[in-house]
Amino acid sequence: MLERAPRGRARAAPQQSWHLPSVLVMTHSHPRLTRGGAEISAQALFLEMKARGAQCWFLGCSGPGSEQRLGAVLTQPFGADDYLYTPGAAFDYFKFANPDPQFPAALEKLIGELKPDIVHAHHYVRFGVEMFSIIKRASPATRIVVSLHEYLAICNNHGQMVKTADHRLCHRESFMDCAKCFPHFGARDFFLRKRYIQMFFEDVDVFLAPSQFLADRYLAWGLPAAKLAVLENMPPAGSMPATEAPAMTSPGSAGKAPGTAAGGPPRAAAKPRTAPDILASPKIRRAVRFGFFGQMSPLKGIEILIEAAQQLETMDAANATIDIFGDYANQPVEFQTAVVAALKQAGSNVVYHGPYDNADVQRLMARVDAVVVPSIWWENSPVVIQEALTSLRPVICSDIGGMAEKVRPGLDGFHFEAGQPSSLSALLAQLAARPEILANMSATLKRPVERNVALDAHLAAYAKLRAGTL
Amino acid sequence: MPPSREDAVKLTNTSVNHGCVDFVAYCANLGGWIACGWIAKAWQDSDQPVFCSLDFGEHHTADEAIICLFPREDVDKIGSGFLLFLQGDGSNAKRLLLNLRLRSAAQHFRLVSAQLLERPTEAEAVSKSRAMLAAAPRSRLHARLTELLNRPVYTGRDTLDSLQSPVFLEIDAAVLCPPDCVLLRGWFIDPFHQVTRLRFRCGPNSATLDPAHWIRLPRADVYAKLVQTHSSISEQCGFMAFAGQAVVAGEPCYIEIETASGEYAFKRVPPLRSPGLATIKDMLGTFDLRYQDMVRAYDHVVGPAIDSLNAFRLAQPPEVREMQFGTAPVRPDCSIIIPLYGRIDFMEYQLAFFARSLSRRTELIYVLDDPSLLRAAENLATACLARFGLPFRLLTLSANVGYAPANNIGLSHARADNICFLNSDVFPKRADWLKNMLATLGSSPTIGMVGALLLFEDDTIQHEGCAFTALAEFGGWQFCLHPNKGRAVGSDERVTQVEAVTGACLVMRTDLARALGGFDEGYVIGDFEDMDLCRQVQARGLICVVDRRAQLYHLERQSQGGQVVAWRLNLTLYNAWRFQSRWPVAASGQPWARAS
Repeated sequence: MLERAPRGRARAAPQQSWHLPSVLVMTHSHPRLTRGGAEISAQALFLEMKARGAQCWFLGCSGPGSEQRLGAVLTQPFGADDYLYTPGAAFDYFKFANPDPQFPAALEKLIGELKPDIVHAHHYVRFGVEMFSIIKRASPATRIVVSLHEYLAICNNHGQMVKTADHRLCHRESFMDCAKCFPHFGARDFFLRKRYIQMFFEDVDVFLAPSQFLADRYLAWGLPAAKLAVLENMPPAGSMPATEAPAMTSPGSAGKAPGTAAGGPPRAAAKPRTAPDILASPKIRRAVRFGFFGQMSPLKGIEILIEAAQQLETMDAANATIDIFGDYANQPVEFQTAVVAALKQAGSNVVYHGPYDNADVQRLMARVDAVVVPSIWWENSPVVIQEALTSLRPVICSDIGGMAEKVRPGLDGFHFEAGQPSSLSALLAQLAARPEILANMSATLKRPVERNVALDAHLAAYAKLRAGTL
Repeated sequence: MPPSREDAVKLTNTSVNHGCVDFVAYCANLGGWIACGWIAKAWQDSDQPVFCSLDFGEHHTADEAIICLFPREDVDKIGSGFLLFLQGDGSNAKRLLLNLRLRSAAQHFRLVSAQLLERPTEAEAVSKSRAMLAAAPRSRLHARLTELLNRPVYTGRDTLDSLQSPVFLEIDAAVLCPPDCVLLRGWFIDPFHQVTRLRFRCGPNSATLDPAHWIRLPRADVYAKLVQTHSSISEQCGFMAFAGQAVVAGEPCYIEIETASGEYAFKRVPPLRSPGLATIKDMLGTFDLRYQDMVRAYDHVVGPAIDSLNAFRLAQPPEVREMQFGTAPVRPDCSIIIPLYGRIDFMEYQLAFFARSLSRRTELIYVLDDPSLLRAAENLATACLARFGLPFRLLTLSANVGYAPANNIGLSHARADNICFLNSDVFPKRADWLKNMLATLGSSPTIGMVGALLLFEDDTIQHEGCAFTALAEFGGWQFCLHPNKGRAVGSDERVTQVEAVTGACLVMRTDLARALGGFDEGYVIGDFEDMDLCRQVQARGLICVVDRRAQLYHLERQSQGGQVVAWRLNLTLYNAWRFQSRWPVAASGQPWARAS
């Protein structure tokens, strides 16, 4: 079974009384196997639906290399309402086609058995876009909802809309430009790809985008406006709004501890926290701590952050430190080498804490005063921003994509020019010089939506969809 | 000058016997026949030309002959001995000689074969003949025969070095063009212009090699080596030549060189290479011709060579395996034939799109013309049926045969009254494309063929019918140009008559397609066969139209050009040459009547 929400959880707002549809939640992996944003959101939706008393099932997917039991396309290793698809053929990631000849019949059979009112898909990777037609074939009355993650249908470069050669931002797809990024495909291949995907998208009843920015991209790509709505993903299961202040340290006490695991063993969900108490005592003014959380990849902008930190040192901003929590082990070897070298050359204001368990993120965020999200691509709705706001921590992020939309300058945090270390360092220096700015922001931070409220929004969307008024 | 057909008949019809043939032999080295016997006294030597016909029953060999008379004791009272040489090929060498006929200005003589007619070997015949000539009175004809019989004989060795004036000849490759033709590639230099004749010889067969008909190729390597000593030579000393009806299996092949001074030399031809598609590609990749050079090259070398190679390639029809995926329609109203080569993923896209646009009464037939992709195609077909639910047939061929044969195989398996030939890189834009095309086809008995409005992926026009234009750069041959290619589509949705439609998407009645034999398989790989089919339809008094309501995307291959794809361009030009030969434009400039 998927992890259940803890008992006795306080609910801040009265629940709406919605007719509860039966929902099959689908995602391309399984939260028991990986902890990416899509599967976390899907898990949260499933658990909240179950907690509300709805009839709900989960269909995930095992990853590449997993063994399929002969003749068993869908299995139930995690529980009676939890299904796992093990692909029987190599997935076509170019046009999201699933060549597994056994999957259509298996899915059709499952849909025929469950007859869900709603299929809510977080992703179509590994299942294939054809699954929408298969679902409609098996149960024409079932409504299909797709939560969009990244820009997968638009961009063959992992859905990130950056150029393959140099990570420059890409503003719009075109067959010719896409063929330049992927020379072994021609423009006509991208033409066919788009028609193929869009054809099966016709069977989807509504697409949910977690940000207006993402929605606008899909509109420009050709999704009909009537089928597109903006709705934030479910907050992760087990997360709680923060109310405690971070632990205080004296100036200079922060030291380098490369490779140190970030914190001890996973703990239970953090107690409510308050805003950072940087101004606890003017006589003991500690350094302002800026934290980075997540995968240390080129697109996440870790190089921008480290370079900004180096610039901070030359500016003599002694009261600013950069705490890096994350992992680079999955990156290409060349990048790993570059990161290691950059960390070695980084000044004393950078502390690398190493990888961390996602369950610890609030506890770790409590130790910083603000969270930096220096991504250089069009982040849609990064979970780290939700986590930061839940932890009552302002966000300093690049001025592009869904990041800029989620973080209101001066209210939830600040923006800097994407990809520009000097812009980031100047901002950090200002904030370090005037720590009251961040401290006072706790009054204006957008409060993250509570899960039951988020579920109400989903249920409202389902109701409108079924009524034909969405 | 050989006798006219009328004269040959006259010779054949002479009934009186005027002598007897004792032996006859074909001498490949001499390029003709030696016959010996006696002839009636009435025969008078003269300076007039003498024509001879060797009668083998249904076959005969005839040409001007050299005849020399000499005394024979055994026939002294009634005639003279004779020795005769007749130039010709040895195609009748194994046949029984019935009689020999001679004709000069006023004489028609018929000589029967002796009951014990001898058939000596070439060497024996030459030896006997020399002995006879030694005893014969001297004359001009005697001298000619003597010179002929003393000609050197090929012994398997190259003898170019024996010539008084240097002649350079190398054969780099010789390819058999079945059944009995040969394609030669090499280089030739005659610095003093002494060579009067080149002949390709093989057993009893021979063929003249005329440098005026060769394709000239640059040979900078040869030029560099020889120009110092022979400054008059040209870099274009390489050549490609074709010799028809010249090869005999098992016999050595060589080139005979004859000079102005009466010398003969020989050059060995390397073992013949076997024919195949690779040979065609290899040959076509070696030259780059335009204008009238092209005409000459294709008429004399490329055209006949590829005709032969292609016919041989297709002589063995491939094995055809048939697989049905899903339940076929019981009474289909249209069979769509789609050949597959290389990009089998196009089948996946098409089936996905067709599942939403074709009626279930349409029969889909894919013809896999790429044996290397058999397993991948089978797997993909299985997956496509599971995903899209659209039934179709997959025909797989044991060998790659090309566009025309693959389509014809599909045609032979079609069950509907209407046929649609469709390329694998064509995808519907509008769901009603086929419905409209069939409706147009059925709207008038004068319509023989319906084409579609094909678009590029940017929605501009790719094809909406052809107009033929003669291109001077390409031999003045007719090429199909696409008017309005690249232009915006506009809103016109009429059906319009056109000169020709493309085989990328065309609809016609199945019985008509079969009556015409489908696509002409003489075209190689793919090009012009659709134009040819249009011409055949029009030759029956029917018209070709384009229905602009039928809109599909045609993601055609990139345009040809550049040395990298020279062979492909030259192959298209072969197809163009062939089309021109079959459908020449009339002198009036009006199209075409089928060439006889």
